[in-house]
Amino acid sequence: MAERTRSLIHLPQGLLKGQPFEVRVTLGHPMENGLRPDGFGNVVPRSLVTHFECKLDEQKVCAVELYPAIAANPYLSFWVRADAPGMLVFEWLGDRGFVHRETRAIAPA
Amino acid sequence: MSALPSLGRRPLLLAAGLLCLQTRPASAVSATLSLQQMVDRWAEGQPVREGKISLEIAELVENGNAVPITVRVDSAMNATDRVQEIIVFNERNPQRDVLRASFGLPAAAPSSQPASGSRPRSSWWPWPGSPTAASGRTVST
Repeated sequence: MAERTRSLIHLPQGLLKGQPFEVRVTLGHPMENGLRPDGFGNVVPRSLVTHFECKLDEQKVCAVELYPAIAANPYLSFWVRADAPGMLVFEWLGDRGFVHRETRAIAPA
Repeated sequence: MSALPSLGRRPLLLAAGLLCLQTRPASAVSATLSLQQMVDRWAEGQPVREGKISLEIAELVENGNAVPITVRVDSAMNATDRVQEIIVFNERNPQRDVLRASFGLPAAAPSSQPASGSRPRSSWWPWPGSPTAASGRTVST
């Protein structure tokens, strides 16, 4: 089932070359662990985001494996340093072929 | 005629029962490794040293379903001295893994002066609850 998700990616304004900046990302996702019953007592099928990866121009910034312990709407924040303009690619992978991909161009001054 | 198959069936059932008895505890044990075993397996036998890492988590949280945690590592994060991987385990969870994050070269250490707008604000958070905790890095239950 194709789930419609949206993400929020926050990058600070006024990036400077070589200066670390914080990237905050959130994906709107229920992170169902497949154990929880719904209001009718039926078990909600498992639907988890299991992997997140951020790349800067094909170079890995961070790759995260998420386990069922991670809450809904997984929120991650990490620090990145860029010495030249580039493209940040964010990719979430999950159960049953779930893929969510976002890109953000950055141009540190 | 029918005695033979019944004789054959009974040991088979018994064997199947024994197999269940044997496999269940074994699988249960392998499913719940102790925290020490998990850490040892990950560290590949390297001794675990104290220090350099701090885990920040609120003692009292508004919503127990989403608890922000922050992992800070004392590292220069340059080409030679850098953090390669951070793993968060939870001792009390049946599944002990919480998160595994590996880092590449562009990953940096936080700058001492926070860049403009680097603190989570409620305005960018559209879902119920909030990531508030001053610098939540990862949300986990």
